[in-house]
Amino acid sequence: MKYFLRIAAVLVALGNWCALMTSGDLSRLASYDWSELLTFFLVPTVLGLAAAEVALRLARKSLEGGFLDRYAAMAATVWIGGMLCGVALAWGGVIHDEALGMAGTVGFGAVASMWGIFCGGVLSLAEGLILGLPLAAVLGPFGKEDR
Amino acid sequence: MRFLIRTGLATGVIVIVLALASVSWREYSARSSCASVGGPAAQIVADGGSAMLVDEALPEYQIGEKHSVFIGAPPERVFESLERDTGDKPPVIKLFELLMIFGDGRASAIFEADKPVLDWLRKGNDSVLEEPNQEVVFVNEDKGTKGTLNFRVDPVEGGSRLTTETRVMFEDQDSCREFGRYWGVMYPGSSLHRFYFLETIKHRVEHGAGTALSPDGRGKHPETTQLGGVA
Repeated sequence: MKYFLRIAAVLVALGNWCALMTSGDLSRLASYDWSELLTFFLVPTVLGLAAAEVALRLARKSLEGGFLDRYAAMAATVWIGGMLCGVALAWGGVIHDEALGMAGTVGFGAVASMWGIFCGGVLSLAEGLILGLPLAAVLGPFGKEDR
Repeated sequence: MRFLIRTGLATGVIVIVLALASVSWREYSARSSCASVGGPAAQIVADGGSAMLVDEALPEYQIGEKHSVFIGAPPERVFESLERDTGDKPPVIKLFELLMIFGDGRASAIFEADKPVLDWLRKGNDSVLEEPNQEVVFVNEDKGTKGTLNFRVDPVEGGSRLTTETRVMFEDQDSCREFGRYWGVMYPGSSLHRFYFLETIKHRVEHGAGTALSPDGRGKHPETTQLGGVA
């Protein structure tokens, strides 16, 4: 179960990241250098894993429970991952502004985080409520295997 | 189900804390940025000291932002790509345009569909200062407020540095603080917009002509100097 959840969280995060950053045009990645590619894949992977770990630690019973419990837990996991990715994306412009000092970066970072959670949260909540259905269905047999 | 509800509650608490921090920062930022209005000693002075057109247009300002990106191509090619760029927005920008709901229409929508960004800006601003293949500055003045937006390409080792900078200067405290508060909310979206705009040009230029320069400063693939496939 835990491996399925981690893999699913990473795949959902990577899928969303690709869609948001490249509009699905993966040929764009061909122009990235190795450090950009590493960042491109590492950030959503880490954030997806973080969301999965939160769910594994706080919602293990739900993930092993009935379909409705699994559905709610998966929807919440996608929602958490989306908010984390939203914050990371929103910080992109702030940390690259050369006119901001340390205080400005932290201050505007708070504003960016709020918008990241808001925008990422709205999108990922909707996505989680939809994706939660197939994920919860697939999680059922996995949950029985390695609990 | 409890986990979903707890996630919602935790998100609500975090959003409230961040909202309070954001409002406090917005007010602090507006006040500290505008403290220099009318007092030249405290005004922010542009750094660098190089002969930039934007320094001629607006050397001192209260509110600004600056983004730059290294591009592995000669300045002429970068500027040509900049001239033709229509400012296509990746979905991430559209996502963060949810911010505009909370703005009042003055947001950083500097792009108009299917028209080169610079062409649109040339028509929409009071005056334009240009140095061919190097810098273009758009200047706007309105009731004691003067703002500039520039795009500049500088040759650097191995390629070029494309920079965009926004500067706004006010003559009175009230309008400065009002704009400062607005800026405090809209800034993340605006900076994201500029950042991805530069990144898009970088990838288009480098994807069309390789990523490095030969020692004589020309692209590795000089036959691709024409912008085909770049912009």
